[in-house]
Amino acid sequence: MTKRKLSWLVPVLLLLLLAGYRYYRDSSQQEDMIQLTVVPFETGGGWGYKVMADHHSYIYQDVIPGIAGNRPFRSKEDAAKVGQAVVEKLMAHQRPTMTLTELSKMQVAGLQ
Amino acid sequence: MRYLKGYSLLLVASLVACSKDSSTTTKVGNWIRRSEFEGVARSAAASFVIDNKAYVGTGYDGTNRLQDFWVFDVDLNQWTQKAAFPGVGRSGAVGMSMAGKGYIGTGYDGLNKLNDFYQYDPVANTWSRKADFGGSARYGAVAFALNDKGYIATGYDGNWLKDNWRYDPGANAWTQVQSLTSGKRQDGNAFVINNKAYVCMGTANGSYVSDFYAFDGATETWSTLRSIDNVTDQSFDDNYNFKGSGAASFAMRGLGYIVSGTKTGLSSAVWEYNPGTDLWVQKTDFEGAARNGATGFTVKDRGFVVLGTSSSQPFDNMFEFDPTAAYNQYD
Repeated sequence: MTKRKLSWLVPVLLLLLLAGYRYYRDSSQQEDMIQLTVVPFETGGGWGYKVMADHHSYIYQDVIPGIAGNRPFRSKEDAAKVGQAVVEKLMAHQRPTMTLTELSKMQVAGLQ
Repeated sequence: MRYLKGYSLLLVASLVACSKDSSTTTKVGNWIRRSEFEGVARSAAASFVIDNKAYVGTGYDGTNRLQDFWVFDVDLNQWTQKAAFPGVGRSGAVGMSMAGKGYIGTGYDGLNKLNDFYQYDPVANTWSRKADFGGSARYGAVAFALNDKGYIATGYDGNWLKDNWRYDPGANAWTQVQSLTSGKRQDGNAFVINNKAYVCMGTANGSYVSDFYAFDGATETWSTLRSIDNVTDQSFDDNYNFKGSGAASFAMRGLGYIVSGTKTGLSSAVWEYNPGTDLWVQKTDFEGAARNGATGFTVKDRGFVVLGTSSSQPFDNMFEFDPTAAYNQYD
């Protein structure tokens, strides 16, 4: 083996090691971790949200949660911030339930 | 040569920087450890099925008795939070559906046994209070619907009970009908096959009940079936060992199922009842962790078990039971 060949081998090996480590870390992370994201969507003259757990819609909220009637959110912003509050509850090991009191405090429009 | 070496090192450095950058951008959202993901977890919830959707609400999370109410879509495996149950938060309530409406009543709020009763309209997503349950305030009863009439039977009001009451949604009125012959109990199970309700499992006086009865919706009378314990000299019940409480139950394709629950400890056993032969056979164990107070239901002739608890760990995950498929531990 010549010196010239060796000088290429070192960085290539380094790269392979790095790629392998990243692959290992990412796949082990996906195995025991769930990614939670909020996706607002338009529905029946208003907005709803989906809470995605690992790219699957775990919660599909096309009406304002917890209140009587079939009312969607009036704005995308309201849907997104309530969805975010649901994710924060899940992260804190709480049930993802929203109450009227909480929605009022968040000044969600269209509750009444 | 020196240039080459320097260049290749630069290349490595820039690649490291690049991949670091891209891995930061994929970390959008929040990550939670799978084992810590509890979702809508609870035990002793009330449930009913309307139009191929399972409605599940109330129950106990280990700290609080709950009022929240959800619908579960089994095809999409997703939950939607619906109008909150209007009564006080409770566990050990019962639910059933009649003529396209859902009903939840009785239960325990942590202090009081309850007899209030509510109707849910799934189209309007609204609740309305109906006539209080005709029997004593209680929890751990069983409920079922036959011919669009609802029945609440057994339970615990301070004593173990065997009475049975019919709710007529048209008249909004309760009528006491024939009680179980004996077999007082709380936390029993009921499943309905061909207009007959089968009631088994549960506890009374600190021991598991082995009596097993069927209630005929046409004649409104109970008949006694073979005991679910090894009590005869015959061989058919030699393996019967599943009496217990807090199990989940459902009926599908003409057969009844009792899943998991508490026996001497938590059990993951599944037993299948055939009303034609009045015999039970043990099926493949429940794939999830053994649990207490889970909810069982049938949608589109498919059986499901959701929620429940194991000691302190509340479960979110859902399992479908296919009684005919060969067992596959990897699915």
